[in-house]
Parts: sequence; structure tokens; C-alpha cells
Amino acid sequence: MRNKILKVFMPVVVVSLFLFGCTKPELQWHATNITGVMPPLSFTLVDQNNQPVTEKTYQGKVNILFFGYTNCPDVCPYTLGKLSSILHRFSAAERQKINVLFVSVDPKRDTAPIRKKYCAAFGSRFYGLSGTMQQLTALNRRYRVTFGYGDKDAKGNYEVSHSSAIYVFDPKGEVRLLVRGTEENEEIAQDLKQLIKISA
Amino acid sequence: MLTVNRFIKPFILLILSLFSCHVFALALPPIQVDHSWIRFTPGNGPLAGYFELINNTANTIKLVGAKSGIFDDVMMHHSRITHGEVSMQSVDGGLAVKPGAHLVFAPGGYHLMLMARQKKLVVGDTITIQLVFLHQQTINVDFIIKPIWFQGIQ
Repeated sequence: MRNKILKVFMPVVVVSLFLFGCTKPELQWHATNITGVMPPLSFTLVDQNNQPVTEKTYQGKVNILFFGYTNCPDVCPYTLGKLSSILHRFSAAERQKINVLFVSVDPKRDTAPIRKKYCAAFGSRFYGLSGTMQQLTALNRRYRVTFGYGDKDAKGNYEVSHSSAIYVFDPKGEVRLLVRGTEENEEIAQDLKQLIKISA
Repeated sequence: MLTVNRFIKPFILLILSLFSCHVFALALPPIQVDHSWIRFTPGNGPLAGYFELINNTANTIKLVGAKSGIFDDVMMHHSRITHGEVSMQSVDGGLAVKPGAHLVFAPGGYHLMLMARQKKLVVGDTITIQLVFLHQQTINVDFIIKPIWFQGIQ
């Protein structure tokens, strides 16, 4: 009798485990999954109070990294505005689990007080970082992007070219997502919520 | 006599309705500009202005620039993202708009670059900007200042 039960149940158990293992759903992301493709978050910069900061200052939360400059009239404020809009889909408590690290690649014009005022306009989760040419180049190079300066006009104004990429790191500092900017705000919000959930 | 009277009312209504369509067409400005707004930025840096222009005339028009008493300089720029790199190009030579066509200045594309503001600006202010067309034709457009995080008027 025991043999009969085993003969029937064992295959059922084995097949069930097999099916469960094979059909377990993979995590779906709207942004591009770049887990393992680039190194963990690491930098030496200064914050909007001119205090030295590293990735350790911001660890333990989901970090969103974006390069730009405050004299950018269009793409930078549009992107940061988009991120601000996305964060407003979270409760105040949930928002505390996310940092937006806006790294200015124009340290000459984007002094600490300017970065502070600029980021404050988007929300309290926005940090305006910058650094020396060496520090900024190192961070750009780490994530395979570049920045550069255009010619100065008669009044000393110049354009800064920079990456459009938005990198998302998990609370441990591992790079996870690349947001291209064409995703819907709701989709990015869902991705961030999922990342927070799986990192808990 | 009775037959004529019966047709007078509908005939008058028909004539009026034909003219009413004409009246509606006359109500559209030759160069129509809607959804005009400026994104606020703190400090003294440049701001971006956006709008949608519709050419209701029978001829091609050309937008060659813009002016404002509030800004030292107004330029037309186009943002570009090429291989993940953001840059801006100055629009030289103006922008032609064919009859019936729309010209859209929106985030990520064409924008007015408003340089060196001459007075403190706040969200909610209305700024007049003069759009300049070929043959010195100009129109004044009111732009409302929206918050820095504003995504655009649909």
C-alpha cells in the first residue's frame, strides 16, 4: 500500500516542483534592466553644502543618478521635473526610500548655493552634487558616458553636452536599471516600487 | 402667396448658417499661437519658452526670431539626443510653416531660449514675447510662467 502511494505521489510531487521551478515568473521591468552590466555606485564628490560625499552617504536607499547642469533650459529641468512627478506618485513615507542624485558637470557655474536652490525646486529628495574635473570624469567614465563644453559666446555663456541616461541603483549600490526617458511616468514609478520591494 | 411664405423661414436660416461658417473662419487669427508657457528656473539662468503655432493663412510664413522687453536676448534652439548625449543647436535661417501646418515648440525639441532676465520672475507671471516673422511681421504672445517641474500643456 505504501509503495502504491509513493509510486503515485512521488511523480506528482516531482512534476509539481519541476513546473513550479520552471514557471516562476521573472521580474518584469519597463526601464532597461542593466543588472550586472556596470559596476556598483562609487564616487567622491561634494554635495549642495559643499560637504564631501561618497556613495556611502546615500546608501540604503534607491539612488537615481542623472548628469546635467543648471543653465540647461530644456532637457535637464524636463527630466528632473519628470522624476519629481514620478516621486509624487509615492506616499511621503515611500518617497524617503529614494534619492535623486543630480550631478552637475558644470562646477564652474553650478556652485553649491545654486545647486541647492535648483534641486530644492524639484523636491526634498533631490541632491545637487558636483566635484572636480577629475571626480566628474571618473564617475562619467565608470558609467560609460561623457560630457563636454561648447564655445563661449560674447557674454561668456556656453553650452554643456552631457548624458541623457538616468541610472537606478538598488539600496546596496548595485546598478539595476537604465531609464531612457521614453517610458511613461507610471511605468517608472512601478519599476521603482518593485525595486524597493525586492530590496526590502 | 402661401407657398412662398412657407419657404421664406428655412431659406433665411440656410443663408444665415452659410454665413455663420464664414464668421467662424474669420474668428481664427491668421497666425494662431496656443499653449504658450515658460518653465520657471531659479537664479538668473536661461528659461525655456514653448508654444504651438498654427498657420491659418494661405501662404507659407517663416518664424525668424523673438524679442522681449523682459529678456536681454531670445534665441530659438533645438534640443537633440544623439547616442544618449544631450546637446542644443541654435536654429539658424528661421522656421518655415506651410499653410495649415503646425509648428510645435515643446520640451525635448524646439524651445525659445530666454536669456538674462531683467526682473525677478515668479510662477504665475505673464510675460509678453514678440514672435518675429519674415518681412518684419510680428505678433505678441502672452506666455504664462509655470513651475520648474511642469511637464507641458496638452
